[in-house]
Amino acid sequence: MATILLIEDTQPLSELYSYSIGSAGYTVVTASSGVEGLEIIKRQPVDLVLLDIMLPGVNGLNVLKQIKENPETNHIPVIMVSVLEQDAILKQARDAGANGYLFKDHITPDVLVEEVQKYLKTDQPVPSTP
Amino acid sequence: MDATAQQTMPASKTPVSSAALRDLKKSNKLKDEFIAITVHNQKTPLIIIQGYVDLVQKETKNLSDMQKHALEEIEKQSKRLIEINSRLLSVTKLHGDVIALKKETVDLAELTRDVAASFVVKLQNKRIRLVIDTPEQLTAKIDCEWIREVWENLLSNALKFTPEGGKITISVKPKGQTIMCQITDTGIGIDKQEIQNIFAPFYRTQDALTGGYDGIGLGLYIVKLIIKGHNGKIRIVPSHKGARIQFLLPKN
Ligand SMILES: Nc1ncnc2c1ncn2[C@@H]1O[C@H](COP(=O)(O)OP(=O)(O)OP(=O)(O)O)[C@@H](O)[C@H]1O
Ligand SMILES: [Mg+2]
Repeated sequence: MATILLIEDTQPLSELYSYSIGSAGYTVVTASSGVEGLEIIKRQPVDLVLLDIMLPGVNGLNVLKQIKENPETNHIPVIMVSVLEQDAILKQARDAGANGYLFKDHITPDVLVEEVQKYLKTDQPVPSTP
Repeated sequence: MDATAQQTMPASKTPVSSAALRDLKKSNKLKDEFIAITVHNQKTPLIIIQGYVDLVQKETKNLSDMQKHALEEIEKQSKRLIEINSRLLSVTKLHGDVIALKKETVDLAELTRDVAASFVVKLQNKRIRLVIDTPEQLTAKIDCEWIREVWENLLSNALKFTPEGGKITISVKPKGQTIMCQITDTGIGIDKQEIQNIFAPFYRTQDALTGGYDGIGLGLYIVKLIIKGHNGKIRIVPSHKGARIQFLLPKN
């Protein structure tokens, strides 16, 4: 089953999201900062990243850029997660190669799982190496 | 800037010094920033509350009626807080020196029908009949997000203050270089002597207060700021039964 990396610094949300995705059968790895998330990607195979925009230290947009500029990781679909509904940030994320965008106030377990499934289907025809 | 206009100025003829005015504007701006940041800081906690309530509601079986009720109430009240916050945020945005209106040529008739359609279920639940009178198409240069908010506020007021079995009528018509929009309901109405205050922030009529209707009294204030931002006009038409509100928007 696919592995999802969730980079989210707000602990209760991180628990809630990983519970929802975990219940749908995915393996979830969590990181509470961008730096920690990037290290995990280097260390182990990840099939999709859920990435909060506002993170302490390196912000989500920078993490996104680092994932998408690295030829070894740029195939991984990244879904941005944010409380802000700001056109400017949305555009920056899109330009930097974000695959999807979710607003936290619209997220329910169903929405989250549906979105994850969407990008795993289209971008992940071949299962990742064990 | 409307925020400064809200301050009660002394009625003397002495001109207010430009420095004093600048200070006033500055402190109003600070106040709006304060509200915006507070609202923003409440967003994540509210999202967390809703997320966990949702989880418990979906996953817990055999809840007692009281437990179910408790969860519904938590959900309802947190939704209400989110609603209040979004209103406060609208106000702070509309208080800006240059209101960021994104004016585009939009079919106002279609926009109106669209908003009305989103109220269908709520109207049905109260058995309220909605009559819409618009031409097929009527374009205007407006910010469709904000004008949508105007209709949403006016419609939710009409819905709220009209008892079961009533009727709401909406019309949009060209009038010279402007477009005349009107909403009429068969609800509790607005007393003549209340009309002058009704667009003030947080103002609610005696009838609304004593009748136990929900609300904080920001809807019409927001509506007025939006219409002003569009160089339009809004008024309450005195009528004997129910409420009638009219607004004019320039076509261009
Ligand atoms: N259609 C209406 N019929 C009767 N009274 C109305 C109507 N619309 C507005 N009012 C009166 O005007 C007041 C202000 O309206 P406004 O929309 O600003 O506030 P609200 O609906 O009470 O609260 P909010 O919109 O902020 O949730 C209302 O409280 C009510 O007293
Ligand atoms: Mg209202």
